[in-house]
Amino acid sequence: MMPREPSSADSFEEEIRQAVSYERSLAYKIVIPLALVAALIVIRLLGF
Amino acid sequence: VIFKSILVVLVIAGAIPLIVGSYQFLLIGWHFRRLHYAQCEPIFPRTAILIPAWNEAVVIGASIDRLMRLEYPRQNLRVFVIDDASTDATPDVVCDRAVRYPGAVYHLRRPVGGQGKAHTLNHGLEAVLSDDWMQAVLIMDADVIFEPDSLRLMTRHLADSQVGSVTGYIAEGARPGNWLTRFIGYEYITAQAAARRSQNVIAAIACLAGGAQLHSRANIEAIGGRIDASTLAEDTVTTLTTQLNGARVIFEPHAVVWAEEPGSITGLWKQRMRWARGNVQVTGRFRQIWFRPHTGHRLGSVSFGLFWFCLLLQPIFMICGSASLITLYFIDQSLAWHAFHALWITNLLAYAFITSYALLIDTRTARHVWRQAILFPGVISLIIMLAAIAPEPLRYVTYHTLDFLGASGLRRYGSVVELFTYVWLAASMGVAYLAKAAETRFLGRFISPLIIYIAGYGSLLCAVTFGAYVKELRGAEASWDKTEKTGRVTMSA
Repeated sequence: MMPREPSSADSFEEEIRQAVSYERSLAYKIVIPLALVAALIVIRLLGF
Repeated sequence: VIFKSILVVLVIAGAIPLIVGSYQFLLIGWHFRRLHYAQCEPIFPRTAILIPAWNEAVVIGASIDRLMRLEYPRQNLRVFVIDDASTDATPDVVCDRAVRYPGAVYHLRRPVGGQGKAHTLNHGLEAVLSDDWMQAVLIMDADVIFEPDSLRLMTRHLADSQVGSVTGYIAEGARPGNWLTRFIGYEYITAQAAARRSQNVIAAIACLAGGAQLHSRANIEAIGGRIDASTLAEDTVTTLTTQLNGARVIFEPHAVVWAEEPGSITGLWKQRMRWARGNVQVTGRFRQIWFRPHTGHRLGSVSFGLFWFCLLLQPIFMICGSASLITLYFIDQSLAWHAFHALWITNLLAYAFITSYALLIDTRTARHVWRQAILFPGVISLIIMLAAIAPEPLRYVTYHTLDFLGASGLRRYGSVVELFTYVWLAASMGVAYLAKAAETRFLGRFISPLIIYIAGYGSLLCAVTFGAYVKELRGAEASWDKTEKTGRVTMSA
């Protein structure tokens, strides 16, 4: 059995929430590079 | 026609590493669905920290002091410095800390050193496995700085008995650093913060960071109680063996560890040559796993195989792409031009996607390294990509510049420029190698960075990998070169 720190339960939950939130934000942020790629494709298609 | 088609395919194949790289980055968007946090608990196993050290007097004292300030119960932490027969003041510094932190710091000395990190670690593992105190082992480098919460962020994953090992995010920490450490800083966003997240998604991790790897006692015992010493990539062997045994390996991106990386091309070349040769050795040693799906682990998945081989074979892809383009140029110039465009437009799209996403993944490091991120492929490759996506504006600017300079006669050398761009994919590696050769010569301090900015840091890494093939084919002696540490590393704000 691994030792635990009983008093840290709240902060543990909060840290997990923050980490999940950060990882979720990366899923949203992917829109920016995808938009950049789309813009480059448009530039190419417009025949510059 | 068949021959031409094969050549076109080989040209387009030159873009495969970047396409696979883009796929790897796309997976990051799925990372939040594959997190391991539901199985985590706030546990603090009795952890033995193993620090292999050879002549680390400059950094080891501060490292131990920082470990003593970790957010971790002191009674559950023991630091073992495994002194690989140092000839400097390392033993004195460690013994001083052993007195300052009684019961928490131990000095283990090998009478004869120089056999490499794996042998040094095995000396420490033997000691910590000799009694029942240790529940987990943290293997780290002498100079790395753990952020205060890093260890406990890693140990919480060990609450899941399926997890054998956990690794943290190694970030480049030299501040202010120089041009090369900033390139490495960006590289580490892509290779660690990004690539390891996607490896979490496919549940197959390629390598535990040598400077921050946590193992459960059960895992250390399952891999035989020792680190494999037969290759130059002991961390990778440990990682793959752990997963082949059916245990999980987790990358914890929020456990940040700052490391000092080489500040010179010569130092970087030595370090990366060791890594690249190790990867070649590991590829052969684990040849039974690649692209062979298995119920007990995910190392045989197609995705993992693609990640592994695209990195390992990138120089081959580049050389094949260039050689095919040149051949096409001489037999069908128009087809060569179209294949070239397809290749470099793909490269540009992948570069834009990977670079912009990488900078968003770790904005703290990105503030420090964004220029090197943009210049990662080198100025010449950037111009070629620009020419591929928008040839007319570039042609307009070039012709007017030549007219302005009174050199419009140079326009007739367009075919030479065309041929040069075809050769460049492969030639960039050779040019990047020149940066290493020039570094120790007259004005090398100024010329080498210039060459890398022109040829690309990515090309330098490919040149190292190519050099590793050559050394392995020649059966060159495998020596273990230690990366010089100066204690420049700091925690980034």
